[in-house]
Amino acid sequence: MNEIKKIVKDYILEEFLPGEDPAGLADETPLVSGGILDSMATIKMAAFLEKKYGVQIEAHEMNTKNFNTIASLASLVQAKLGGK
Amino acid sequence: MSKVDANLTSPTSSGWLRTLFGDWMGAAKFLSLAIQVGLLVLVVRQFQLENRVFYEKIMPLAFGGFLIHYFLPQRYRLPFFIVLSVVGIYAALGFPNSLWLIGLGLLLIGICHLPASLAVRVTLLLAMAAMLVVLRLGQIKVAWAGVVLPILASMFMFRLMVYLYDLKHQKGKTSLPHALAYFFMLPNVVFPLFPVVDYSTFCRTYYDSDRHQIYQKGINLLLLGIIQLMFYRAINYYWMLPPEDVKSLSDLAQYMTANYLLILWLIGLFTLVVGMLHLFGFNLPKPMQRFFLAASFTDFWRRANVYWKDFMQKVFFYPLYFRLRKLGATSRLLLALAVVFVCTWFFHAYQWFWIRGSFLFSAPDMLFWAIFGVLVIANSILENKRGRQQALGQRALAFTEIVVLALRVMGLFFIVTVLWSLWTSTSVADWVALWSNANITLDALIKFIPILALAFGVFLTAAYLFEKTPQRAAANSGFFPFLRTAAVTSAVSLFLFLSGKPAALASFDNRTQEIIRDLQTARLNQHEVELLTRGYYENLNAANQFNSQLWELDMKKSDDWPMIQETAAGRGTGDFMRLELVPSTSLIFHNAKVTINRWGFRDQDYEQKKPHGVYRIAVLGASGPFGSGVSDDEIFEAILEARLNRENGGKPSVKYELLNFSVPGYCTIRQLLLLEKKVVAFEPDAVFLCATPRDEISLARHLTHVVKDGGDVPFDFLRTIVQKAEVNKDMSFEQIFTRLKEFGDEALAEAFPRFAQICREHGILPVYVLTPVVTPAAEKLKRDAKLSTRFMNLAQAAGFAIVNLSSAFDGHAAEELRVKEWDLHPNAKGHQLLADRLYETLRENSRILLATK
Repeated sequence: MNEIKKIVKDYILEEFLPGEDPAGLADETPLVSGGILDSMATIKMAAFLEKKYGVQIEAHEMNTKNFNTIASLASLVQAKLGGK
Repeated sequence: MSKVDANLTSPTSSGWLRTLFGDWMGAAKFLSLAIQVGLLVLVVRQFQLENRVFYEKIMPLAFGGFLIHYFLPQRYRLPFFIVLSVVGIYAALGFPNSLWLIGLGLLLIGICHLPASLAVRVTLLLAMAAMLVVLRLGQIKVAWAGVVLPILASMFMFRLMVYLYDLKHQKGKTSLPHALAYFFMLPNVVFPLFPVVDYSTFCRTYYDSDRHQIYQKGINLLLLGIIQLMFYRAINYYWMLPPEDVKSLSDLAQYMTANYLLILWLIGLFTLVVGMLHLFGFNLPKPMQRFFLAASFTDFWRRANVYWKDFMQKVFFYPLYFRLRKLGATSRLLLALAVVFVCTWFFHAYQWFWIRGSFLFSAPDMLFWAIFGVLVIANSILENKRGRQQALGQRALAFTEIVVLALRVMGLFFIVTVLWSLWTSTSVADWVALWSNANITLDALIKFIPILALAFGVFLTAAYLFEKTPQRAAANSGFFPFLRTAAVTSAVSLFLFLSGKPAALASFDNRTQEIIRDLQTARLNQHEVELLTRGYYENLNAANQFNSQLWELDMKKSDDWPMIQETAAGRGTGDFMRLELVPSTSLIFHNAKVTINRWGFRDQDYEQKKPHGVYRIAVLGASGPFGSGVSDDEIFEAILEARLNRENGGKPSVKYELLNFSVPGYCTIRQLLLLEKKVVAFEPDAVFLCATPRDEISLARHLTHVVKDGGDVPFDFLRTIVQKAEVNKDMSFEQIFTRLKEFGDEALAEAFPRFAQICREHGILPVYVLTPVVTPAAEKLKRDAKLSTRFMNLAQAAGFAIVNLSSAFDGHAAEELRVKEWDLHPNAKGHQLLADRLYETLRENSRILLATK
């Protein structure tokens, strides 16, 4: 789980927050409601997770609950990996 | 809770205080919240926002509900909100209508929960929708349809899609109380235009943080919404230009900017709605995110209507995007976004149908969504490839970055205002005419540079103030920050409330007093009044967008409110007159008895030859003197005739006869022709040409119709005007009208002497009777006064006796004197006032009553 969080965090920092201090991005930092992930970024994030972990994210899973924090994203991936 | 707050918690709070509020800080918070909401109720009422039911019933109900709701245990709050919403529906719609609304709503919710497949449930819902379409179209007449269906549709037309989507994907996570609260939520009954609240968000954000913070956020939003609605009024009353008044580049800039900023009405409305929901624990996001400061098309789309964007994204974009996995990322994006914009365009028309009961398929509407869609799609693809960098809010923008941002914001603002002007135009040709009438030349562009520089300054300041650091939600639940916010909100609310009180008003100069009074009144602007008036005679949807209150007025309009030519009493003539009354007809028109005599005018059946000893006055006018909306015996000329005979029989004449030759829509030129062709044959002693300050407009509109239809134009002077205006039937209506309107004075200056000449030739005294119009518009009245003086001078110079009744309605509110909210013709009381004033004036001016042949 921590490994997933780290990978997700690194991806967000690299793709959406270049030059920002990694310390400012915590597991519970609001990504969607905080404006870091907009709809385009959310799609990119989903595509990244699908490719990286070989999971399939469904349309109805593209919501604030799943995508709002690094922790919730990691949980989503974990659940999908666990269900495989 | 902060350390300071924790230290302030009193361990010795008395029992009742602890039971009710937890501690004294809880009590203080409640008290401050209650004061703020109470003040907002007063402000909303003071400024008559947004409609009578809202400020007289729903806001006080919400206030009372909030006070009770606050003390309820958590488990009772949602059921209480449902009860409150139902009470609100009853308060707004009354017993039978509210029963229909709730019954049909429950049926729709029930269908969603039937133990059947989704396909079956959707089919049943579509069947029910088809039945409601039939009712909305009036194919089957039911008394409640016009009132209930727009509200029912507003509650269900989009939310049902969201609800079904969530039912499908979140099995077991829905509950009946949540569903009832979601569909019947309190303020919806008075706001047919309502944000598409997402069901998951509605449930997820319910008391998702400290309740006092949620309540305070709601109060802040309510105040923000109120201020936005006041700005909307100020722009609509004082800054908005009628499109036909655009004659220069600066006019065009003013028109386009004001036209775009009218969206503040919708923003204010949505903000009020969301604010009110916060008072009951629904911590929903702000509906719009400062989209005037959007720096790209995608940014605009994201910020403009957050709820709509989320709805489209959830129900259409993501499902399609993820279904198209086999395609490349760009193709998927392009296709899914294209579908989103086609759906947005369609749903706009769909919403229009349910709320207005008519179809909206116009070229400007389609073009707007097509162009806007292409721009957003192109921008999205670009962003998707390049990436869109965000920040964590730790770094403020450098000054050069703010300058670049301000330039981008200004550029986007310009493009959006241009697109908006297209969207709100009645036709593409009218939009083109708007630009061509602005006479944009190089010289005009150079002169415009200082205004552009000023605009840039405004954008730069706004970008610096609001966009310098990224916005991050930083809720501070401390006691003192809470009180600070409450104090500011209370102070602003109190200021707004007191500013409207007579004692406070007296401290301002007259002009400021006038503006403050005006801003406290919900009224139409000058252009909207003209559109509404035009709608009396032309098959015209006065409002073509949800961009002003005009459509709301249109919505209230009774289905049984035809134009006279749509009834048995009016018919086309096929010539310049275009319309005449049908002899010997009797009918109910606009709820009033209308009798057309054998001569084709609305009056008793007089003999054509004037009897001996009778003093006869012919009354010529348009729909006002015709008596639109009042019965035969309630028209001012009928009242006056009866009074003259009752109180003055034999002094100086044996009998008085007032013959009403007025026809709805008739302008001075048509009245001139009527005088020649018909009136003189009745041997009147005097002719009362009843005019309003709008005669110039009425004349230009009629002439525009004639030119547009390729009809023959009578009189050399009119033909010369048509030539000088360089108009022809291939031009758009608005373009012809704008040009002809410039010659209104010239036409009247020619028409009045001809009118007077005909009268003189027949020994008739021409009398110019200036009648007032029913409108509360202070600005309009000033303009009217200026026009009235001009027209009276022209008439006087032509030899008319002048009777000025323009102050007959002074001291009376428009609501007292109009036929209906959507029909500004004087009602029976208005006609009585006119008759009384005219009687007094005639008694003072015996020359008119003695002008026998």
